[in-house]
Amino acid sequence: MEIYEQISSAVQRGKKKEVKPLVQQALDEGCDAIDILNEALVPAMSIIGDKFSAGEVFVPEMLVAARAMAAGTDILKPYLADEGAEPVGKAVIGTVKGDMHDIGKNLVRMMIESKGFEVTDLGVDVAPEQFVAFLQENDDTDIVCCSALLTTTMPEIQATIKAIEDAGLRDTVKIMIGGAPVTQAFADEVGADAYTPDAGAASVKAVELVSE
Amino acid sequence: MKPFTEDEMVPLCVQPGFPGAPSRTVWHSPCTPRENLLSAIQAKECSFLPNVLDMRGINPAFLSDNRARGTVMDGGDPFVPDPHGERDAFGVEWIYDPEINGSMVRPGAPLLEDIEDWEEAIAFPDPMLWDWAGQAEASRTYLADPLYARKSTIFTGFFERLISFMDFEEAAIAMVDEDAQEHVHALFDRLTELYLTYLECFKEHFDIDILEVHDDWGSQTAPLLSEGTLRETVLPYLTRLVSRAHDLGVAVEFHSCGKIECLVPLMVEAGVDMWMGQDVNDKKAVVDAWGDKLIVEVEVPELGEEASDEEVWQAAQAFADDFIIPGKPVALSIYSAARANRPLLTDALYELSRKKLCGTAGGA
Repeated sequence: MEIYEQISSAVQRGKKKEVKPLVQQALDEGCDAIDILNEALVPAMSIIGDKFSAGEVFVPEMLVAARAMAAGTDILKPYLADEGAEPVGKAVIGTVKGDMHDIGKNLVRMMIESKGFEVTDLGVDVAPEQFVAFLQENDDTDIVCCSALLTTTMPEIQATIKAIEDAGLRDTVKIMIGGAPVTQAFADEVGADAYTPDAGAASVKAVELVSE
Repeated sequence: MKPFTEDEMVPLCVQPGFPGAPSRTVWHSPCTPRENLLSAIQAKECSFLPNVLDMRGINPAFLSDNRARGTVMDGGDPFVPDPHGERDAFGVEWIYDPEINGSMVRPGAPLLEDIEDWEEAIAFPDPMLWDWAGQAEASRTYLADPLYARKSTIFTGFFERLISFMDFEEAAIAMVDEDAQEHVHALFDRLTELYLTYLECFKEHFDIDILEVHDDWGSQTAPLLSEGTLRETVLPYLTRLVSRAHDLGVAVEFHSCGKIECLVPLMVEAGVDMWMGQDVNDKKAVVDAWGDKLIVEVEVPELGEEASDEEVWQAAQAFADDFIIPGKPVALSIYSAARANRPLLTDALYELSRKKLCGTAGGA
């Protein structure tokens, strides 16, 4: 539909002010909120995520696109609730204990949200027991995402995974890890379910993990 | 340039290395390390391989950016930042991590939430209130050593400063948001005025040879900003700063972390003289393409202290084959200086570079 293409284009260009009236126009024309989300907003962010992974767009362009999408989803939220729409999955995210870096973590959160996930952000310097406590209180969580930017804090990823294992929760969630010093080899070594090198790839992997 | 002779391989002095890294011998060379480095920068000619250890930093504690970032250097006792945080010249709080020898702004409480409000929200420091002359006197002996070039640093360049004011996400958005452009330019223009004052004070009081401008443009895998965004928002101001430095006879070393080799043409366009980049970049390709325009700071491999003489000489020869190129001088980087290698490696690089760049007395 042409209106969906217009919404998608506006999101990709990061034009929040264009997205809002276009989404409202689509609703006024009788489009279902869930269709606007799944056929215009989510695909737009998928395109941006792929372009980011390919080095065709950069962090600011991804951020303004995410902001534009958020403006659209804000309008859709009451309609989505009425239509009984469920999130694609639920995730919890945080930078591990001792690490204050939040840039990559925030990008991953935004990109996963853009895929239709409900994401709880525990912030930075998150201790293993905080991840465990969250999972104990939210047993419908599908994915744990944790990151470290420092080689000195990478061991806390392993400690987090071990704490989740020790709490008997390992089989209930998938664990994704990332951060500048993190590699697939490290992910294999510590028993994570997935490693991705950037936020765009993380959002694709998150969808794969809940689809398994 | 004077050819190499065996007679010059007599130590003039030995510079201690970083913890865990080798010391560096200064030889009886035809010129001092300072003269050699400055010739490499200005004339693209040098007598031996320059080294970042040829520069001596003068970063006073009264410029509180240096305290916040753990980079005070003035010839006095080492400064250890408060682990609970130090405030920079704008009052922004940074947390220093000794493990990585770096600082980051404490996230979540930005000084500036809307770029439109920068004039009201940000109080600029007045550098003329600081005791520049007193620091110059206190550091007189430290600065007087003729062997080394003198360097001061503007920690927190344009994009980094915007991040420090707004936190990363809002700063990154401001860099591309059409509605924010007017304000970003006005803020960067005002920052340039401040940085020009820093530069002029560095020159007047410390007689610096080199100004380092520190601005992180990249992540470990890619630039954070597109070339177009940087060209539009940062390049005019960086160019102004570099131009004034050159007017004062000061060279400019640009530091950016991340994989940003594709942005080197922007640095060249700005007139930058040296690039301090990380080893995630393809330095060889950059030297081949741009080595006649700016000094690239490059890495030696880490061989370990157990490497044999033969292994060290082979590594030195391989490095010389790649990077000792007449007309395209490079410098050993800070990362090289921090690697666990035997002192023999830098000794070998000195000798090989002398022979390759200047020949050997007697024509051998």
